[in-house]
Amino acid sequence: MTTTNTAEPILSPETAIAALSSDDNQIRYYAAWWLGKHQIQAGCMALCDALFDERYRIPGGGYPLRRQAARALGQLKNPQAVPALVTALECDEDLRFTEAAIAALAAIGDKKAINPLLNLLQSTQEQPYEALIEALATLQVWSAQPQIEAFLKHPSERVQCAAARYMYLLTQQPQYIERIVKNLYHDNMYLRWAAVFDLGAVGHQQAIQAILTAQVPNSLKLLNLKRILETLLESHNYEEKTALLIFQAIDDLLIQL
Amino acid sequence: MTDELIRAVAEAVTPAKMVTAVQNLAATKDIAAIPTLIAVFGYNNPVAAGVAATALTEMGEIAVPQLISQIDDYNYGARAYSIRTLAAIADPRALDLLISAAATDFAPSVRRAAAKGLGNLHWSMLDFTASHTAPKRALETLIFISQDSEWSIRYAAVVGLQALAKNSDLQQPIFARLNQMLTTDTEKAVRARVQLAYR
Repeated sequence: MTTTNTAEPILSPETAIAALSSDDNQIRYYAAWWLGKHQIQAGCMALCDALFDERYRIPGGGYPLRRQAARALGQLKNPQAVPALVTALECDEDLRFTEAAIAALAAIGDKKAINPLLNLLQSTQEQPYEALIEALATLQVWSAQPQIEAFLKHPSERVQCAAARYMYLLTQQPQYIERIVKNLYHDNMYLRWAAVFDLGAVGHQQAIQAILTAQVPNSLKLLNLKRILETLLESHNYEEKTALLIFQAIDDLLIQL
Repeated sequence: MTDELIRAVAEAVTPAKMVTAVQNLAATKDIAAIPTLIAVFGYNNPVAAGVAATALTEMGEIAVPQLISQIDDYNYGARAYSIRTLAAIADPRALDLLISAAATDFAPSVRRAAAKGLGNLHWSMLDFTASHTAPKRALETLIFISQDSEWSIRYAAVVGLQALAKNSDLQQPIFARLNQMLTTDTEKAVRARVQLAYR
């Protein structure tokens, strides 16, 4: 071996945490991914520090390590990361980083994130609205309804869909599911995928049928039917009829490629 | 008649014409169409392959020997369609193929189809000795993959195990394993499917 690289390979939580402060930005990025993928709680504070990294920047001005650290913290779901993620929302130079921080706060589900997220919604600066609206829906912040209803007319169809999902979860009115289902038949594959994930958050028979007929890969159908099933199993008004419908749908999909 | 339809499949020049030609050939339900329908699995045309798979599944056990002998070891996509079709037909002659697909294939979708298929094979088609040993081999594989890290594989294993429990002499180990999953599985959706299997 003639390699001069003295860093240890990332095979354990200890090596991954150490690698976060490596000289090589690619290794640091991989370490952040690894800690999230394996949900290493011991890496939480080191990942929080990486949210404020200054060393790794790309020409467009983005912070790749910060973004990856935020995603990893979302996978850890550790409430101890909430203060750092909230502070990270103040970074207004990299919208994709803000987006990842918002999604992480939604995944953690701590109510302390609510006011900072509402502040972003009031901000006059451009925000990653799709993630923001999804987070407010996940955290069940229904006081934002007046502002979010306006996003149903936003130029971005993905933002419109996020608003429709929020409005459905709040009002249970099927017209909002129909707005999402419209995107299931969109020419743009990514909009179809986003729509399936929006429906995966909505436990309604209409959503189940729509997912089954969508032109999306089987794995995405399975994953989102499972999300609907989980929501149903956790809900107070568990409907056995709907659960049996989902079991049947998943059982049938197993034999498809 | 069938010869012409077979030639139309070979001569189809666009993906859309291929789908139409395969649909026409599939509609004949003619045994002579079987090799061509299997060959369609290798044409990298998912819609046509789906039509061919459905047609072969409907033809059932008559297509099984050729599905097994014509399996394409060099074309992964074609192989996946063959395994999925064999799983759907549920002829126990496919047992060995389904066991290796369920346990070792790299595509989760193929493993899920094989796992479900393993539970549903028509065991009574086998002779007396084999009809007792074969389900036990399916059981071993399903119990093995019920410990997979991927939730959808474990879910498929539960569906397979539930079907396999129709063999009364296998019920004891099957329900012991399901019971274990009820307390140890990390996914709520999988545990809920186990509970459904108990009814």
